[in-house]
Amino acid sequence: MKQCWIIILGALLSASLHISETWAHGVIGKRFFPATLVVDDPFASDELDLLKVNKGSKNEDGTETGVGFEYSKRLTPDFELSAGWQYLFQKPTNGSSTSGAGNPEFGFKYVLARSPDHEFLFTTGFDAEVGGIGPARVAERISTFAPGLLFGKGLGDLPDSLKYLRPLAINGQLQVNIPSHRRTVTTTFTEDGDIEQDTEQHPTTIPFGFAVNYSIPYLQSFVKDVGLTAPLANLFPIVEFNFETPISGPGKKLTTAFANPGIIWVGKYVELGLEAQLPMNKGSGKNAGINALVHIFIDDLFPNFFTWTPWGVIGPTQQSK
Amino acid sequence: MIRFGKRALGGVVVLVLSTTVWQTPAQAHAFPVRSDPRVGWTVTVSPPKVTIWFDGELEPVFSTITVYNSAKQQMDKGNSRVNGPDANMLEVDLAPLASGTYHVYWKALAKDTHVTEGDFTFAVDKK
Repeated sequence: MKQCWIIILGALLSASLHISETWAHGVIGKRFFPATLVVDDPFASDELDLLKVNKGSKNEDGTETGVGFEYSKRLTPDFELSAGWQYLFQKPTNGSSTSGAGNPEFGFKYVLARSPDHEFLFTTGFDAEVGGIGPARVAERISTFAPGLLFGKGLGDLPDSLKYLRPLAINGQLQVNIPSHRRTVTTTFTEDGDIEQDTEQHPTTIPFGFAVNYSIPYLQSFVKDVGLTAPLANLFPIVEFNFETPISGPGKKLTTAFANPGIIWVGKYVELGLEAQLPMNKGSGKNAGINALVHIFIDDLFPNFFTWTPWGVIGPTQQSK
Repeated sequence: MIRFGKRALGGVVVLVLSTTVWQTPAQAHAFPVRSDPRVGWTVTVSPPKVTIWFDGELEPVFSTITVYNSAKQQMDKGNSRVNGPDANMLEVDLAPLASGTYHVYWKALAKDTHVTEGDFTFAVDKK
């Protein structure tokens, strides 16, 4: 054990002395993409969602609020592993409020292609929620697996006649959410000695969505300095749209849909985001929810530490393929 | 559990505040804050130089500005430099400019070796 610590300490020291040319997280060409709150961004990064809050809209099941974090770690410039966790507060329509730890979520992303000149990135990813870890009152007993595709595109290559649209950028995500079990059956014995069985269906779903942001930093740095100063100069007005369509089970083709307008502020080491979650159809809920994010650029805070890997400090993430 | 949640939230707030207040300007990539001439603006006299201020300190080597006219002729004097007393400032001297639109290309190497780059235009209209 002692030897292990010495090896780790030695590796960290060597990493702190090592310097290599690296590119900033979330940057493709001259475009910076902020971390989005609902739709995942396509970048492989060393980053930390220190605090992620979603107070969901009230639907027929009730309301759920999740408070959690997610840590992402690159192993190569194009490959990222992530782990996240949420604490859940549930208020069912019929029943009393409850809370508890949700199931842990793990994932990876791999950047398939990037074009700095066109501010474009195309990525594949995989997420998994490991069922049965959190308490049954709030967490699913089954696992879910979600392979998917992600992209990001800045509009910086628009012609001069549309130059005020160049600060716009869009990033999107398409997944297939596959449950480990189609249905679960819960058997209980009543006071009369009878057996009751409750069957819960777990449909395969297609979550998809996209986010559109207007970068004030991009406007002022590359199009026209309109004279905004901090903190306004660091803003990204944004709207995210997310949908989920079941493709099996009793709720087939009942798509839930939300619009999430809000604002993101990006500082040197911290990003703060706040959005309203507005249901777009009856099945999605009744009233507005809230999304909030505190995101730390850990690769800027301690670059040599957080971009370290067993095979050296990671080099540029922005490279032509 | 709720009491634990409040404590955890307090810790998070303290950590966030400490990271936002913590000034270690030599450890982040550099993005432009402002420039002279200003991005996208028109000036009435030929500016003697182009200056860009960044939000972080730059490494003098590999941090450059080049300026081209609409005929793609280089109009800077090739002497890009990080201003000595202010390592956040990158500048380059210009040859006298006629009326027209000019394209500025910059590349900045931050102290932590993050590279950022970009471009913008400004115009000269002597009337």
